Amino acid sequence: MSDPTRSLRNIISRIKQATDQAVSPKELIATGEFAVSLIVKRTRLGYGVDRQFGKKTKLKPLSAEYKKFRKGNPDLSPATSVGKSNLTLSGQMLDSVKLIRSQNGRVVFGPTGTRRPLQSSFVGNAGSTPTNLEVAGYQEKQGRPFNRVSDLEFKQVLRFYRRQFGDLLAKKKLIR
Amino acid sequence: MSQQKFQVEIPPDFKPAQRRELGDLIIEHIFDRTDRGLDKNGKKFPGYSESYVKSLDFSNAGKSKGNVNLQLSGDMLAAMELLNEKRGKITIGFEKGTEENAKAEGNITGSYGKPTGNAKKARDFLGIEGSKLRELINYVRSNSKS
Repeated sequence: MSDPTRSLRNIISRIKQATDQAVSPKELIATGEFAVSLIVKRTRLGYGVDRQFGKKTKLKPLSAEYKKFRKGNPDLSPATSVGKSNLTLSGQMLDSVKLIRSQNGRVVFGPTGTRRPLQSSFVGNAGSTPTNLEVAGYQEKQGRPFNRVSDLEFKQVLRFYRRQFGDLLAKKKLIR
Repeated sequence: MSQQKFQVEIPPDFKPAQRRELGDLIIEHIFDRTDRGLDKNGKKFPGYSESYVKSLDFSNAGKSKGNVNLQLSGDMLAAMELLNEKRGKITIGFEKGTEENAKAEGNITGSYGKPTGNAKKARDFLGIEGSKLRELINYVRSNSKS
C-alpha cells in the first residue's frame, strides 16, 4: 500500500529559497497547517494532485456501482453528494488530515487516527474498520492521489508565509 | 478566450530589479484589495448568486455569503503574475490559455462561462488605482536608494 503521509521538507526548502529566510519551528507549524488546510479544501472540491508542485486535476469519477451504494446511504456526509468524487463518504478521512509530527525542522502531515464504524459497507472495506491512513492509501492506489501541494497551492503557501512572517508583514499598510 | 492582463507605465529609469519589486507589490495590493471585496476602482463587488451560495462547493470551501473575495480554491488569484517587464512598462495578468485566465475573464466581464459578459455581475479586480500606483512607485524608488 502506498504511504499517503508527506513531509513538508521540500515545501519549506522552496520557501527558504524564495525568501532567503530561515523558517523557525513556530513558523514551520503555522505554514504547515495552512498547507494542510489547502489540501483538504481542494480535495473536498473534487481535485487531486499527482505529484508535489504539479497541476491539480479532477479526481477520477465514481463508478456507477459505487454511486448506487452511496444513494440513500446513512453514512453520507453533507460535504459530498451521491455522484461527487471528492474522497468523502463519511468525511472522516479528510477530517483527520493534520500535522503528525514536527521535530528537528522535519514536519510530516497526513491522515491520522482510527475511524468510527460505518453503518454501511462496500467492497474494499467490508468486515473491517480500517484506519484513516489505510483509507487514504487505498484511494491513492485507486488512482486518486491528493496528499500533495500543487504549484498554485505552493504560491498560496508562500504568500501566507510572507504575509505572516516574512517581508510582507512590514509592508501591510503599503499594500493595503 | 482573451488573455487577461493590464499594463502600467512606470518611470523609465527603473532598473529590472525595481520593476520586479514594483510588480510584486502591485500583485500583493490587488490580492489584498480583492480579499477585502473591492474592485479595481475601490467599489464593492456584486454579491454572490443564491445558487452559488447554496452549492456544495461554496460550503466545502468554507466561504461566507457576505465575504465576496473571488476565492474558492484560491488558485485564480495565486496564478496572477508579472507577465513582462521592460523599460518604462510592466504587464501583470494571467498566462494565456489557462483555467485561471478563463476564470479571471469570467469575473472581469461577468460572463462566468457564458458566451457574453454582464456588466452588472462583473467583478473587475485586475488593475490598480493611480494614487496607489504612485505610492508604490515612490516606495520602490526610496527603498532602492537606502
